[in-house]
Amino acid sequence: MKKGRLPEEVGVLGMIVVVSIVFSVMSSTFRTVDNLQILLLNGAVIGFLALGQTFVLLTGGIDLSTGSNLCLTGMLAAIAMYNGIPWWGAVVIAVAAGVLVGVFNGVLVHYAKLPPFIVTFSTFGIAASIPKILTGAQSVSVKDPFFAIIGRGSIANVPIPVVMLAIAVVIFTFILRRTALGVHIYSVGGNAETSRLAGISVPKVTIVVYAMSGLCAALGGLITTSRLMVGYPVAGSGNELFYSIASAVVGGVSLFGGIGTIPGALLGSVLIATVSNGMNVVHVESYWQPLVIGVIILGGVILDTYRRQVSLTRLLTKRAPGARSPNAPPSGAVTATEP
Amino acid sequence: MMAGLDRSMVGSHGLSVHSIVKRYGGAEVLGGVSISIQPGQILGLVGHNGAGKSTLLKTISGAVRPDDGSILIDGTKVEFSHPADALKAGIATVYQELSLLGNLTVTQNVFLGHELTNAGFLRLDQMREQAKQAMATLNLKVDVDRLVSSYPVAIRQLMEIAVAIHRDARYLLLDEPTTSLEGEQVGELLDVVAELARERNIGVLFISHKLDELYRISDRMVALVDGLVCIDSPTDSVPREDLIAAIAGSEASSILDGSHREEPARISRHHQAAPSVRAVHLRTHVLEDVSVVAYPGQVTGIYGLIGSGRTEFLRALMGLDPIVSGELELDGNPYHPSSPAKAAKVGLAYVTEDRKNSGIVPMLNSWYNVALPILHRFTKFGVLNVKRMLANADTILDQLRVRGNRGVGVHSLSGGNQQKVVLARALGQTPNVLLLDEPTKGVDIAVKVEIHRIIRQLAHETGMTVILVSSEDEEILDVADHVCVFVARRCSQVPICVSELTIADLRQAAWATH
Ligand SMILES: Nc1ncnc2c1ncn2[C@@H]1O[C@H](COP(=O)(O)OP(=O)(O)O)[C@@H](O)[C@H]1O
Ligand SMILES: [Mg+2]
Repeated sequence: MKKGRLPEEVGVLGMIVVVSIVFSVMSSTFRTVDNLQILLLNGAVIGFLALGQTFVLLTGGIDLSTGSNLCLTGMLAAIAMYNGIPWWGAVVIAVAAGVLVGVFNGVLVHYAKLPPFIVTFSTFGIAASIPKILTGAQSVSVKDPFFAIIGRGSIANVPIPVVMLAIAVVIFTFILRRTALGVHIYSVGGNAETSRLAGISVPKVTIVVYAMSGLCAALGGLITTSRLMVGYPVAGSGNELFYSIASAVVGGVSLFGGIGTIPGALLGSVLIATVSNGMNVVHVESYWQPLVIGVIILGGVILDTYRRQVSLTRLLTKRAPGARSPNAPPSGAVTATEP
Repeated sequence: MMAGLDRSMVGSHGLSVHSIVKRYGGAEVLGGVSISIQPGQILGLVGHNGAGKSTLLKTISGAVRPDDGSILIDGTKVEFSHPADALKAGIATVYQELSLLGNLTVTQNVFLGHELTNAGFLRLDQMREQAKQAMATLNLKVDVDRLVSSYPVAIRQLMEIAVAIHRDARYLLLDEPTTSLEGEQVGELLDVVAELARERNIGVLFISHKLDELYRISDRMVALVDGLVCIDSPTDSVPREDLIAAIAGSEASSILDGSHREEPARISRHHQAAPSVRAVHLRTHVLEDVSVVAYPGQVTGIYGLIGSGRTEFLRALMGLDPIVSGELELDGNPYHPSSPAKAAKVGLAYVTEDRKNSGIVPMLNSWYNVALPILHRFTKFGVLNVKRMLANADTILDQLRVRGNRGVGVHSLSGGNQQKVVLARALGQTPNVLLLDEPTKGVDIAVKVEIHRIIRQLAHETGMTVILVSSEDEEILDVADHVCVFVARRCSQVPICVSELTIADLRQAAWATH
C-alpha cells in the first residue's frame, strides 16, 4: 500500500524463520517434508479460524464461538452423511449452519447492542452443546470416500486444506483491500458512528464479519471431520479458539479494531502452528504449549498497545502551537505509521 | 454578485426546513425552526452555547430525526432516515467533531461510503487521482496514501472539508469548521467556501462563533436563540451590535467594554486580599494566554463559550495538561502542577463536568464513593476501619443532604444526588482550592439551588477558594463573587464584580471579537 516502507508482517515472518531454524537444529524430524505437511495441515484449521477472527476483530468485536461452531458444523456434516445425505449436501448444510451462527452473533451484537464478548460467549456454550444433544455425546463416523478428499487429499503433494486456505487468503485479502466492503470493515472498527454518518450500513458490516467468521469455522469443521472421518462432539473444544485469537493478534490484528491484515493473520497462524508443531517434535509436554503461546500473545499485544501510545503522544506533541486539542480520537483510529 | 440574495426570495427553490422541532428528554432544543439555503448562497448561523445550532444541522444532514417539521428540496418534501439519504440528496456535512478515520488512508476517507467500483472492485488508481484533486482544491499538500492519523489536527480539519466538498454536493453544511485552524488557514478556508458558492453554485450553511468570519463571507445571517430563529436577514442589513444584542439579550449595559475595564469602581473589592491562585500568561497546548486570579473566601466564576478553554484551565491547575509557559502561584508560592495526585496534596480538589465517566464509580455505594481518595486516613497497618470511614462519609453526605439509599450502588441515585456525592468526595479531601466544572449540569432545579447554596457557604464561611466554571449565565451571576470571561482560549481582563453584571453583559463579553 505504501511505498518505501517495510510492511509490518515482516516482523512475524522473521520470527517464523528464527523459530524454524531453532527447531530444525534441535530436531531432525522437524526438517522433514512429512513433518512440514503435518505442520501445515494442523495449521490450516487454526488458519481458517484466525482469518474469520480477523474480520471480527477488525470491526472491534471478538468471536468466542468459533471453536464450538467448528464442532457444531463438523458434527452436522457427519450426521447428515450418516443419514444418507451425499457429501456435497453435507458440505452445504455445514456451511449454512456456520454462517447462520455468525449471522445470529452479528444480529445480537448490532441490534440488541450487547457486547460481542457476551454474545459470542453465549453462542460458544450453545453451539458446543447442540452436537452433544443431537448424538447423545456419541461420535459419528463417516463413510463417504469423496468427503475424505477434503481433509486427506492433496494436489502436487500440497494437502487440500492448505490449498483451500491459500485460496481463502487470496479472496479475503482481495475483499479487504479491493472492495468497498473491505474499507467499510476497517472504518467501522475505526469509529462506528463516523462510519454511520458517512452513509455506511453498520449493521450490514457487523453481520457480514460474524458470518465470515462462521463460514471459516464451518470450513475448519469440515476439514476436521474429514481428516478423522469421524464427527467428534468434543472437536474444537481444545486450544482452537485460543490459537485463533493468538494468531490474529501476533499477526498484527488489533484487538481494538481497525488495524490488521489477512496476510498478517495468516503468518500469525503459521507461527503458532510452527511453535506448536516444533514443541511436539522436540517432545515438550503438550501442556507447555499454551504457556509459550500465551507469552507470545502478550508480546504481540504489548507491541500493539505501545504502537498506539507512541502515536498518541506524537499527535499531542506534534500539534501546531495553539491548535485546539483534538476531540479524543477513537481508540481504534490511531496507529503509528509515520516513517 | 447579488444573484444569491435575489434567489432567496423564491420560496420553492433551494433547501429549506420548516417548523423543525426537536426534543431531548423533556427539553425542547429546537422549537419550530424554519430556514432556507439557496444555491450559491452562504447562510451564516450564529447562536450562544446550546442554542441548538448543531442539532439543527444534524436534522438537515439526516444524523438526527426531528420530532416535527419538514425538509424540502426545490419544493419537494424529503425524509432522511439515515445520513446516507441526505448525502444522496446532495447534502454534504462537516460535523463539529473531527470525524475522519485515522486508521484509513486519505483516499479511503475521501471515498468512504461512496467508493468507486467496477464490477464490485475498487478503482484504486482513479480514486487516488481524484483524492489528490480533492486535496488540491484546498491547497493541501498531503500524501493521499498515508493514514490520516499521521497528520496534525489542523490539517485533518481541512482534509475533512475537502472530503465534503469532493462529494459534489449541492449543499454543504459546516459546523464550526474554523475552530482548530490558525489565522492564515482560516482565510484560505473562507476563500474556498466563498468560491464554491459563487462558482459552483453550492448552497452553504456555515456555523461559527466568530462574527468576523460570518460578516466576511455570508450573504444571509440567521441567529438562533434558545431553539428559535430571532434574526434572519441579509448580512448587509444586520448591524453587528444588533446581532450581539440578539444573541446576548437586549439589556446589555456595556460594563465589559474596553473603555470601562480599568475603572476602579468596576473592579472587585476583594483585590486587596492576597490571591490564593494566580495564573499569569498561562499557556498549554490549548490555552493561549490566560491570566486569572482567585481569592480565598470567594467564588471565582469562569465564563465563556464552549471551547474557549475553561475546562482546560482547570486541567492545567490539576496537572492534567502540561504547562508550556507562564507562571502559576498558589498562596504566593510558585506552583508547578505535575499530576492530579500532587495537586491534591497541595490542597486542590476537582469536580469534572463529566459525572458519568470521571465522576462517580457507579457500582460502589455512596460511602465508598466519598471516601475513595481519603481511604488512607482510615487505614491502619493496611486494614480499613470501615466504621470510621462510614461515619466520616456520612457526616459529609448529611451536610450536603444527600437523599436515597447510601448503601447501594451510586448509579441508582438520582442525577442530583449523584452530583452531590461527587461534590462530597471533593469536600472530604478538605481542599483549600475547589475547582468545579459545570457542577449543576443535568440536575433538577431544587438540587441546583441547594448546590448553589453549598458552594457559596463553602467560600464565604469556610474561606475556601472556589473556582466555578459554568456555561449558565444565571449560575455565574447567582453564585460567583467575580467572574473571568474566557474568549478564544485567552483571558486577560481583571476579574469583574458580579453584582454589577447582567446576563447580557456576560454574553457580550463572551462574544467580544478578538
Ligand atoms: N443527544 C443529545 N441528548 C440530549 N441533549 C442533547 C443532545 N444533543 C444536544 N443536546 C442538547 O441540546 C441543546 C442544543 O445543543 P447543540 O445543538 O449542540 O447546541 P449548539 O451547537 O448551538 O451549541 C443543548 O442544551 C444540548 O445539551
Ligand atoms: Mg455546536
